[in-house]
Amino acid sequence: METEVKRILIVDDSPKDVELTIAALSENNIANEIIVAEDGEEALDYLYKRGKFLNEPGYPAVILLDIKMPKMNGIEVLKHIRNDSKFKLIPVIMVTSSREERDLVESYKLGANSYVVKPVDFTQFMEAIKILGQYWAIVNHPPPINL
Amino acid sequence: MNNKDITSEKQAAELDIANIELALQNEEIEELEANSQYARSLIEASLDPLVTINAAGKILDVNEASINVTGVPREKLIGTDFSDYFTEPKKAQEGYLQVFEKGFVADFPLTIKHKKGKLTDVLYNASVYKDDKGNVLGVFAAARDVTEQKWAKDLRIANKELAFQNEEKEKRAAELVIANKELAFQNEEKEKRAAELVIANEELAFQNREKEKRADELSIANKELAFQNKEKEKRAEELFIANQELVIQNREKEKRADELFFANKELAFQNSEKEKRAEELSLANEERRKTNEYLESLIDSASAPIIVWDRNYKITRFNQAFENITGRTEKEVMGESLEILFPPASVDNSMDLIKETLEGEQLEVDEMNIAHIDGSVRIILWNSANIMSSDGKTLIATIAQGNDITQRKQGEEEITKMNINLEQRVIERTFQLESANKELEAFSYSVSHDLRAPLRHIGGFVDLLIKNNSDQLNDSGLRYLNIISESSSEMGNLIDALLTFSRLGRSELQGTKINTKIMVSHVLKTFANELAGRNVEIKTADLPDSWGDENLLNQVWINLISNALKYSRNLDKAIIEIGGKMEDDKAIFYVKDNGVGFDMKYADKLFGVFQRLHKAKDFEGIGIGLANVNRIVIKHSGNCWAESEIDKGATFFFSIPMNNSQ
Repeated sequence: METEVKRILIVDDSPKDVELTIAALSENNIANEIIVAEDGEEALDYLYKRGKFLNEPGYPAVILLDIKMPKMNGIEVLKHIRNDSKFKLIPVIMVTSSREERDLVESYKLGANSYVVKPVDFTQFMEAIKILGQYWAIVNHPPPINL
Repeated sequence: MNNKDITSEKQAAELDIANIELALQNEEIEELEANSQYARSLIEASLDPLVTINAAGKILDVNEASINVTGVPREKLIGTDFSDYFTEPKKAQEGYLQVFEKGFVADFPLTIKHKKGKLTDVLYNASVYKDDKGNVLGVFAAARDVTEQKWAKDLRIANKELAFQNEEKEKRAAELVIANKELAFQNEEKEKRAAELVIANEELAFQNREKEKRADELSIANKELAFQNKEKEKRAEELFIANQELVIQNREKEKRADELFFANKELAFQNSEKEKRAEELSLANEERRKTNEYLESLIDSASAPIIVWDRNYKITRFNQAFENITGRTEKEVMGESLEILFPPASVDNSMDLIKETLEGEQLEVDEMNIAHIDGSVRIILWNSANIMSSDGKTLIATIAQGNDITQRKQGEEEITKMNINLEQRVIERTFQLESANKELEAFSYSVSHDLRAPLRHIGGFVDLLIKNNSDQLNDSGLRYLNIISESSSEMGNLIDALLTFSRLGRSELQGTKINTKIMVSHVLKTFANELAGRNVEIKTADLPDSWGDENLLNQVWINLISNALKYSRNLDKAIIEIGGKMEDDKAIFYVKDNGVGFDMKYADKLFGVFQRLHKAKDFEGIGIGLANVNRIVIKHSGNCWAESEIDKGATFFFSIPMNNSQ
C-alpha cells in the first residue's frame, strides 16, 4: 500500500508538545507528511479510517506515541496496535515525559520499538527528534502494511 | 885306437869300476841285510804292536803283534790308513799329526779295534824317523797294551769299593747283631708281657664274672629302688597337695586375721564415731531446738505464705502470710484438709498437682488458685518440698511456700493485651504507611510527568523564539530570554532531584555483598573526564567489603566523590583520600578532600534536603546530593557524619552494618 511517502503519525494530547515536535522536525528538514492525533481514540480512527480520518489515505511509516493522554493512554493504544495483525509491524516510538520504570518496561513488553523521554531542555529535545526523524522516517525501511 | 876302442875301454873300465862298486855294494848290502834281518827279528819278536806310518798316514809296515791285535793280515794292512783300526780314528790322526809336529809322542791313549770286535786299550809311543839328510820319512809307533793295567786299575778301584762295601757290611752286620740282641731282649720282654697278659686276662675274666654277679644284684637293687621312688613320688605328690592346701589355709587364716584386724579397727573407729555422733546429736538436738524456735518465728513472720501438711493432706502449719491471703487463722485450719484452701472450680486440679509432688522429692513450681473467704481468688506460685525422715525413706510432711503473683499475673495479662493491641496497631500503621507510600508514588509520578510538560514548553518556545526571532530582539531582550530558558532548565533539575530523592526513600533494599574496592574504582572511572583536566591525587586506602543495595550504595559513592571533587576544584592540587575499616559489625568508610571545607557550626544542616552551606554562585548545586546519601545510608541502618575545617577540607563518614537485612 502507500508507504512510499513516509508518513509520521504523532499521537499527543498536548498541542504545545506537538508544535515543538513539528518545529524540531522541520528545523531538521525532515519533510515527511505528518499526521496528528490528539488522543488514543483519534490514533485508532486514523489507522482504521474512521471518524475524523474517514477519508484519510495512507499509513504511517512510524508512530510517535505519547503515554499520558486522556481516555486511552499510550500503553493501551500500543496494545491495540500490536494486537492487530495489520498494524503489528509498524514501528512505534514512545515519546513521553514519563521516566517511570514501569512505563518503560510495560512499553517494551508490549512491543514498542523505542522509548524516548522528552527532555526538559529543548535543545536536547530538538536533537532527539532530529535523530528519531532521520532514523525512522528516512534511514529505516518500514515494514509493509498487510491489509 | 879308435873311438870305439876308447869307449870300450872306458866302458870296460867303467864296468870294472862298476863291478867293483857293485861288489862293494853287495858287501854292503849283505851287511845291511844281515843288519836288517837282525832288526827285523827284533821287531817281530816284540809283543807290542809296532807300526810304521808314512807322511800321509798310510801304514808302511807292521809287526806280528799288530796283525794279532787288529786281526787283519799284513798284506791287507799295508797301504791302508793307520787310523782305520781304532775306535777313534780322528784321535789316532791327531796322534800321528802331533808326532809330525813335535817329533815324538808319549803315552798317547788309543783303543785298537780287532776285526772281530775285541777292543784293546793301548798307550802309543811314537817318533819320526828321518833319512840321512834329515828328511822325515815317516813315523815309527809302538803300542803298549795297557788293557790289563786298565783292568787292574779298574779292579783296584772295584776292590777298594768292595773293601769299603765290606766295611759297611761289617758295620751293618755289627749293628744287626746289636739289633738282634735288642730284638731278642724285646722278645723276652714280650713273652714276659704275654705271660703277664695271660694272668691279667684270667684276672679279667674273673672280674667280669664278678661284675656280672654284681650287675644282677644291681638290677634287682634298681628295681627295688624304682619301686621305692614311685612310692616316694606318690608321697611327694600327696605332700605337695597337702602343702598347697596348707598354704591356702594359711592365706585364709591371714585374711581372716587381717579382716579381723580391720574389723576391730573399724569397730574402734565406729565406736569413736558413735561417741562423736552422740555428742553431735546432742549438740544438734540443741541446735535443732534452737533452729526450730528460730524457724518457727521465721515462718511466722515470713512475708511469703508458708504451709505444711502431713501425709494425709491435713494442714499442720499455717503462717501469718497465708492467713492474710486466705482470711483464715491457723487455729481454724489446723488439721483441716488442704482442699479448703482452693476455690471450688480448681480444687480437683490443685489436689491432683499436690498429690503428684508426693511421688518424688522434687520441688514443684506451679500456679495455684487460693481462695479467700471473701470470695476473691489469689494466684500463688506454689513451691513445695517433701520433708523426709532421717533415713530418707519415710515422708513426714510436705512444706510449701507460695509467692503471691496475683498482681503480676494481672500485669502480664495487661501486657499481653497491650501487645496484641500494639501489633494490631503496627499492622494498621504499616498498612497506612504503605498506602501513604502508594499515594506518594502516584504523586511523584504525576509530578514527574505533569510538571515537566509546561517546563518543556517554556524552554522549548523560548528557544524557538531565540532561534527564529533574535533579529527582533535587542541584547537585553535576548538576555532575558536566556535567563528564562536557564531557569526552566533549572526547574527541571530540581524536579528530577526531588523525584529521585523521594523514590530513594520508597525503594526496597536489594542487599548483596559489595566489593567496595571494585565499586569505588568504577565510580572513579566515571569521573575520568573531570580528573583528566585537573591535578587531582586520589589515594585509595583499604576498603573492606560491605553489604547493601548495589545501586544505592553506588549512588552514595558517586555523590560523595563528586562533592569532594567539586569543593576542591579551586586548588592547584586536590588530594582526595578514600578509605574504610571494619569496626565491630560495621563497615565505616570516609571520603576526605582538602578543599574549601564548611563551617562546623552548620554541620546539622549538611544532610538536609535542598540545604546548602555554600552560595550557588560559588558552587553550583541543588543541595540534594548529601540528602540522598543520608537517606540511603539510614535505609541501610547506618549513619552519616562529617568533620571539617574551613579551607582545610572536609571528611565525610558513613557506616554500614554488615548484618543488615530488610
